[in-house]
Amino acid sequence: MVDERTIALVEEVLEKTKARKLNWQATARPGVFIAAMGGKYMIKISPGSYPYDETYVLTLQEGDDVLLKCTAESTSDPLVLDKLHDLIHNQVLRVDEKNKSIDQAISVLKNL
Amino acid sequence: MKAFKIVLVATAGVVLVLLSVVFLQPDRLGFWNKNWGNLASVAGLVLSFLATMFAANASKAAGEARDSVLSRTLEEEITAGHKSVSELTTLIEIKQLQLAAIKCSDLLDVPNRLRIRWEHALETSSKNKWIEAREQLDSIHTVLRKAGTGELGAEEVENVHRACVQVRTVFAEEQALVRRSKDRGHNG
Repeated sequence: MVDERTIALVEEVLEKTKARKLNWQATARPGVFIAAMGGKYMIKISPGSYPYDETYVLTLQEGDDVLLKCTAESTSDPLVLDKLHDLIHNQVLRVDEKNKSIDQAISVLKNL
Repeated sequence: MKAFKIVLVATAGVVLVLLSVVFLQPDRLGFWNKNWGNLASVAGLVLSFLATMFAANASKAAGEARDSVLSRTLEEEITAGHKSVSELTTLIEIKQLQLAAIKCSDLLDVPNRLRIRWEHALETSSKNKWIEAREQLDSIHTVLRKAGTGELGAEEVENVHRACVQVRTVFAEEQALVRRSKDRGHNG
């Protein structure tokens, strides 16, 4: 069921992630990323709970209290959480920067 | 102590001035009779001012002493936490996963405790770091608990180790911030 607050949260997180205003970190759990903000809230994106569920869950927490849990069903775009997770993954693991360096290295090799 | 000396000297000065005014006048009794009220008011005013100044200085000194004790306690708590996280990192490195899980469990509440107890003294960026440290420890604990007595794969060990280092970095950075703030207090 689509929820207005969920849509607003996801949009804002996506926008601030693109602007690199959230300090995303990888955790010890594969595919789980976290970012704290405002000194009291934490946003977490993690793979869905079920083994065959390939979508992601975005959680807003205050301390250990879960304030909001966003799934693909509660957003207007079912793929928005996948896009967000990919974006965060690439930012945290510096995929774009590494790809750029690899391209530069290949061009150096070509010119040898 | 300095303020106390000032009060003593100033009081002696006021008394001397009053005595000289009274006793150096030729018709001293007449002067005293006419002006004793004014003189007493002036003396009272001077003494009130000095008492206020003394109280303000004492309050400032007490505040500084309290801040010094608080920052030392915060630093001590962070130092103890840093030591425990370093031990946790070592346990992961030597693959003592069960001991690491116990150590991690002991550490789980430390970031929240620090963040909540020292809320008034911490910047938002520091609070964010403690929130992240808590979540990192939780993720480490989840992975170690799932592993149980079994072994972790190379990638899992690497992820857990990286998370431990991130938590250790938070403790080290926050420790440095407290020390820097204390140094500034002493030098400023």
